[in-house]
Amino acid sequence: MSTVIEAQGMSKSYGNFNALDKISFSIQAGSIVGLIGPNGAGKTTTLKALLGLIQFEGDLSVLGADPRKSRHSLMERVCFIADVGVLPRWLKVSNALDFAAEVHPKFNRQRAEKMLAATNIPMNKRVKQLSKGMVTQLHLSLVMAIDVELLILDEPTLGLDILYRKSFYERLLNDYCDKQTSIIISTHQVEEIESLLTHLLFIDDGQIILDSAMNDLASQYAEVLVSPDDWARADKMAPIYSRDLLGKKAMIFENVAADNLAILGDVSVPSVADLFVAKMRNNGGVK
Amino acid sequence: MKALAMLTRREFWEHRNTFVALPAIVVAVLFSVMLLGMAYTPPSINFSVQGNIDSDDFSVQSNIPPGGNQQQYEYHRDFTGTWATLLVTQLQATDSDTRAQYLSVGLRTIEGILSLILYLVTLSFLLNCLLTDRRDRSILFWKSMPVSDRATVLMKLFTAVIAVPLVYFAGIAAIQVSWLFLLSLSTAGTELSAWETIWAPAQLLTHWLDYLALVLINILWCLPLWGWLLVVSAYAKSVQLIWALGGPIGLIFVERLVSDQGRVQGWIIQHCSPITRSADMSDQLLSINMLSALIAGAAMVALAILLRGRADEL
Repeated sequence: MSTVIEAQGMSKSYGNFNALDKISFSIQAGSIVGLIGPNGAGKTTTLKALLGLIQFEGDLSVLGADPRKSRHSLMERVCFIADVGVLPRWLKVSNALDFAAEVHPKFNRQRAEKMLAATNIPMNKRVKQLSKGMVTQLHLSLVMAIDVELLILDEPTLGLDILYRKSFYERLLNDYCDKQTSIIISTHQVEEIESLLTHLLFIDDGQIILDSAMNDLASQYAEVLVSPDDWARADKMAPIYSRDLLGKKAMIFENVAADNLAILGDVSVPSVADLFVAKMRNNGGVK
Repeated sequence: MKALAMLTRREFWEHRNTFVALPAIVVAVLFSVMLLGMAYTPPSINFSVQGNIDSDDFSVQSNIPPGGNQQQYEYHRDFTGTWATLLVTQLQATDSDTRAQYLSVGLRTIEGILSLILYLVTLSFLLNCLLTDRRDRSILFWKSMPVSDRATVLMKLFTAVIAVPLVYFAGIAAIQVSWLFLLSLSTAGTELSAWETIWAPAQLLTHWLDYLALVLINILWCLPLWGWLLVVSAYAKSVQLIWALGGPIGLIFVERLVSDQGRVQGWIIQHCSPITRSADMSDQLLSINMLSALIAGAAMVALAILLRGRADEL
């Protein structure tokens, strides 16, 4: 597999605030990466750096190019959806298609029209007349009609109700599952995208605090529901996180052999959400 | 090329009101006023005109005003026709040079009204075009498209100083033709020839070519103004008007402190004012002054492109 993104020691500060603190990571072609972190962790800054929207220090290669120098040509191969509010409000739906058709060499108008036909978005309405959910669907239809190698989604479902959120990710998955497109999704609503992901990146305070393939999580992290009798024994194995659950404690362990844990109770793989909370607490991110 | 044309079309989508609807409304209003004015029958007319006018057709009421111009007369006449017929009769009574002059004043007045509006629309567009999309965050959409920052800024400039003036020109031409047409109607049923009295002396085509030449010259002459507005638009986060005015005023103030020549001040004022027909600027066009405007203007456009490259949502 080829590398789509390679970041080395990327830093970005706004005044005294370090939005990114020398982060490094790489993303392989065809992976679907969840970039997960609390508000202000550096998610959007990371994505903006990938898109060539901001200047920063360090090395970054996206599809072999430095986005700071070649945003323009890179955007033929990368698509981007920020949260719902970025389509210009005065833009007519039909004009959005006209624009993309003329400006983007890889835009397939028929595909976009077909996708829009499946929604209840009228072609003659302006963006400001559409609901938030419709705007997201419109943007997604535009983007999905473009054959790209990398799709970047920054909180794409922020502010949408659960029905729209569900259908957004369903469409995304159905459309991309058979392609070699790499996708990066940033969100703080972990549960919704957990099943889509092949890779996890946790970010907090401008630092990557977890970088793992979903398949590797089981070998690194384990969750055990521990009865009060075993609490003392469990504590000795240094759980990274523990929470009360029905009179017991659900504890998450990092790099502890499953055999050792089995004595304490049933061992399972923690959910991404629980793992996220565990990592954040450990990092002092969530008080 | 298609992509560049689309960048201009997109500006017309966004600014339909000021680029298309506004001139259309002004043209409609001017036309209505003309129509009413032409059809209106004044009970008696008092007006003064300058120049040599054959007074056979008019009775001189009062002679040369005290201390006034020898050639300025005040005419009074009880007239039974409409404004249009009066104007046509008067045109008929004058020689062809004066006729051309009269018509030219009319054509220029029409042109002047729309040009003034165009100037204000251009200023406002350039001052806001790289700011509003940062404010409403749609810059994130525009920048997600494979369009270079250079193309973005240059096509906005193209829209402001070429595309929109051409639309306004279409409005100017339409209302000028309508005016001449209305005048021609008044010659119907008389022995006057509409062509000789009106269309020929109006020299519409020459008039239009002159206007288009002025548009082209002003693209260059006012390039520092256009460039400066783009810089402010790309840089300012708010109060862009204060930035736009503050920069030049600050420069003039600094100049006042160090010298009393007022050269910078003069240069700034010159290049903020589009060249008009009345000004004789022929010697300015191939001058150091023009060259300096081109260099300063191009530098500011380049700076605006650079700033746009670093621009993010606000």
